[in-house]
Amino acid sequence: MIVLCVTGSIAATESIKLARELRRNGVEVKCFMSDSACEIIHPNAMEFATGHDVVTKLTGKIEHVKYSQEDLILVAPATANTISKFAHKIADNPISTLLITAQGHDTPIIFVPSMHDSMYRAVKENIDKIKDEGSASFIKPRMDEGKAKFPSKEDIVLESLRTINLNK
Amino acid sequence: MIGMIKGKKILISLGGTYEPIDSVRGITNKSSGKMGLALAKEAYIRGADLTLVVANVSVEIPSVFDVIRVETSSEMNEAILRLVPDCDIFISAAAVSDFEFRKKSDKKIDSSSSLFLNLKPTTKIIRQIKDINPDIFLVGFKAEFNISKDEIISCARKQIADAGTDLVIANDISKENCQFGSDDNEVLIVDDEVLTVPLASKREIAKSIFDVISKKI
Repeated sequence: MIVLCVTGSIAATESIKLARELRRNGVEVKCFMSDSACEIIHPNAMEFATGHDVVTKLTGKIEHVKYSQEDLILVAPATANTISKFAHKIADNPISTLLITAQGHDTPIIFVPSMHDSMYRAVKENIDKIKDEGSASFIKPRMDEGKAKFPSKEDIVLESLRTINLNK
Repeated sequence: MIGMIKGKKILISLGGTYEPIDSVRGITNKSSGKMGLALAKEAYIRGADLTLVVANVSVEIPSVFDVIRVETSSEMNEAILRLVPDCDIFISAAAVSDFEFRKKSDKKIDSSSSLFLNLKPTTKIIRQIKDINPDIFLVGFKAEFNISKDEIISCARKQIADAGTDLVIANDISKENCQFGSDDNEVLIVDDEVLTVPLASKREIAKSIFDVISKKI
């Protein structure tokens, strides 16, 4: 199972089709959404796309532990905020808490950064820190029209399936 | 079995080569690159260390792949021979031109009179591979037109004898849904045995091919 974490970038609108594409490739998908992602797309859309309830809060079911040892944690889109919190192991929302629980279990994590160019430059040090410690990998944005765009869903699916097989 | 491909250095050639006649015209073939791309995706998903040599294709190549772009059969030959010594598996899925021009005009040839083209056979890339790297696992393709299954198998076995191919993927491109550029195919996977893969998507065929390769390497 892939745990798809959707954070608050406009590219959250792409996550609906990404979840469908992962499922077409035979993967079960569980979705976590941040509060800011919920202001961009409604959790019902991800519930429809994944066929499962969406986690937007941690409850007595300890969702951050329950889903921390799945095949892959895919953060797509990943905001500057989410990446930076993970770089410094801050756990103040369901997704950041899931991420450090998963890291402790050596569960593979992929970030798909999606933010304005200037923000990307500003958090580069945090991205490098994560790369250096090897705690997660990144799928580079697609450079088009001078902007850093969300990569193609096909690239994300390929990298996700490869990462799962490489960690088996 | 998926794990057998993990970390293997795999080279795949795909697409159709283009031989220029002059500065604007050329001869090519109808290869789309779809089968090669399906194999590339499957290899990548299974964790291979993958390089692609890509000629003319009608498909978009995902940006995550390590790609060398070529145009002519001689460029393809050069790229492949350079990479083969360092590879564990080479899958030759490209449709390489069998002929090239003795002399290419660097101008645009005048069209007011008739034109005779003098073609010479190109170097057969696949026949050089085992000489350079005898340990490589070599997979060839054999597309034939409107012949019997037994004839296809004997064509495939001829490639094994001539080039030392370890496995040949053979098909009849006259069949419906099996032409160049189609999304599906129906193939025979030939070595000492013959495995028939009935009409399926190129993705499913790529999976079957890698399942067979995984058993043989």
